Amino acid sequence: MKNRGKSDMRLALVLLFPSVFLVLLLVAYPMISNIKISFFDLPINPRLDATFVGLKNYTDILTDVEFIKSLGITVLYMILAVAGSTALGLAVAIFFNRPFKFRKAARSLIILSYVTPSISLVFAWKYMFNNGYGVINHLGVDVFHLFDKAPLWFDNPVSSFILVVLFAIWRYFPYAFISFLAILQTVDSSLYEAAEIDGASTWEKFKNVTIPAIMPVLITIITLRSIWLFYMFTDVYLLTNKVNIIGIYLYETAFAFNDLGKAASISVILFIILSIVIIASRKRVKFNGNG
Amino acid sequence: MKLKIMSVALIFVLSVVLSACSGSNKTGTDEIITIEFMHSSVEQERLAVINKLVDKFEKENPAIIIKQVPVQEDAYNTKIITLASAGKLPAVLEVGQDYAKVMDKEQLIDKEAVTETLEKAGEKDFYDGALKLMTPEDGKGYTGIPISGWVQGIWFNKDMLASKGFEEPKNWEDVLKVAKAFTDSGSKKYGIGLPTIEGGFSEQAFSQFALSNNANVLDVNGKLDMNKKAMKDALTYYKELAQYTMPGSNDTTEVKDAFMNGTTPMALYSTYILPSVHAEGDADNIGFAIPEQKTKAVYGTVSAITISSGLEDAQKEAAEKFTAFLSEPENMTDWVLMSPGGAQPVNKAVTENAAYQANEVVKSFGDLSTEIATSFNDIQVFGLVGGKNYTKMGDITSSGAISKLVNEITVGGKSVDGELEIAEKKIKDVLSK
Repeated sequence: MKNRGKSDMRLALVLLFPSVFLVLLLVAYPMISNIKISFFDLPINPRLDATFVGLKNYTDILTDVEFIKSLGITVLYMILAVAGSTALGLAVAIFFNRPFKFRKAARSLIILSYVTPSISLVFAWKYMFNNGYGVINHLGVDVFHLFDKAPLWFDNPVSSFILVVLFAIWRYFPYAFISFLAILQTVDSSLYEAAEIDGASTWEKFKNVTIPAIMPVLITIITLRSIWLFYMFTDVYLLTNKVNIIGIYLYETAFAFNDLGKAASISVILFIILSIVIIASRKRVKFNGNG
Repeated sequence: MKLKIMSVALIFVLSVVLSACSGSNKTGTDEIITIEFMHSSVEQERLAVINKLVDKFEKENPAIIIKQVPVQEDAYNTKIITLASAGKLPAVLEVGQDYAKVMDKEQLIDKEAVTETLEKAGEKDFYDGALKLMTPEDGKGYTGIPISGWVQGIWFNKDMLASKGFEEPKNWEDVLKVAKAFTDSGSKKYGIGLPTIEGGFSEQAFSQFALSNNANVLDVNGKLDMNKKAMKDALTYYKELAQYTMPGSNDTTEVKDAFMNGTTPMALYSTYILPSVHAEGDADNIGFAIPEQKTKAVYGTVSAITISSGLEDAQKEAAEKFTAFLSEPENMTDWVLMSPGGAQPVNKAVTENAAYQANEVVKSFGDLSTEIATSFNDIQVFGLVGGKNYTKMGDITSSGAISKLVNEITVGGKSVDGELEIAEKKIKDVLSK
């Protein structure tokens, strides 16, 4: 029996080897390489010598007011967009979790914003909010007379921020919608019937039946969407240059200022921040018995 | 035993996979050399022209295979940095004059090979303005072989201007008068389509006014020399002129749309407006003006073909051959005619080429085509001062400090003095690195 156990272990290791090898190659190697770069002043040309600068890149970044500002804007953007897209996705999923005419067609239409390439959506939004001929300004100024003059939507930092958050909520809520709809369809309807017999209100049914049932999916959506939005670049970069989120700060450091060492140190700092937040939130979820 | 066989099989499979991923420059026989050619012509019709050129070259040089790497213009510089950092920079690249400076600073260009090829191609046939833009800071050799270019100025609708008794605007004051006369913001009509976006377009547009007022970013010694009266006057003028353009940040789309749909009678734009004007059948009604203040300054840019540094001898030789092939007048003409009217010749042999002159779009603009081509010699750009083309200007442009300055004073309504100081500080930070 002992020999058999040993041989199984060897076989298991051999079978695991390709996966482990790929993880090391595709995840561990770039990570270690990135950490190494973060301690250097690295020229673009690999034939030129890199200069070891120790922790200078890290101290420069952590003392840069622009970095702190970018981080703050990113966190706010992430919280609002995650909360908004998750809440909207859940609300629409609950609404769609019942039979009605053209349900399938309506579901397909809802996921359009998620499956359409960012660039097309961004251009559509930019045209909609164009200062000269945008439909929003036409409605606001000429039809409903809400404003005397068309607001400069993407030129004002506050309105730009609100718009990029709204864009993210609208663009990403279908992901939450699909996930919630899938799990809502597995909830036993007898639980709602029992709650009804007990005299539970709609809110109480939602709180005591729906939320516990969808909790695993809810946690997954919030975690994944937070990570994705924390590193967001394309949507915001294409929509406006008045919202300097961390993805744009990182891009500019690497590709506008060609400072690869500093860019590497930013990604290490972000990785640490995000890891701490995720580990802490997972622990809290487990502590509360929901994980 | 089974375990050994499995291990060997696994190693074999991995070796095959990894060797397949690694790629090879050689395709079976040692004599055949494959080199990569990176360019920004991703559109189908442009790719068709380049494919034809590549086929022609490969027929003439059967031992060389050209592997194309077409990259979107927006992602071009990012791709160069990524490939260069990985030591995988293509042997031959299309590059703009600004980024050529950044590449030169990083020693990514084989200037010796480029210069030799350009000399063989016939240096004297190229317009001086185009060559000036590709000259490195020390004035020795070239960073790329100009293949096409575009110039920028004020395009005006002759009929619209005539309707209010105006002729071609000659100087700052004329431009302002016309812009003022046509602006009626209540009816969404504006006097000029002016770039105000926080991006390269605004820096390019503003540079034309600043340089015509003898204000450059650097002085003859390459020192930062921005915060001076001539620059402040140019900024103040640009801010005033921006009152007569569409509200908000105007980029290429907004400026071109406004001019083409008749919202504005003037627009500051490159020659890339001409194909649309031709398509609208309005070629006779368009004029081109270079507003002059103290001097004449045309903003223009050159697209060049360059050879990357650090190549093996055989690859370098192949790269030189391909670059020389693209520099032949006939092939350069094909390249320029990928976008007739938009892309302009940078070589007299192309301007005089029968195929170029017979092109329908070029012909439709008549004398204007010649006027534009000769304006290459009046090109002035930030960082080119006293015959020296300072490399550090590439970093200044990449930092976005000047475009932010233009955007803040025009759209943000901020003060010229305050924003000039902010830009100056940002540029100093960039230059100190």
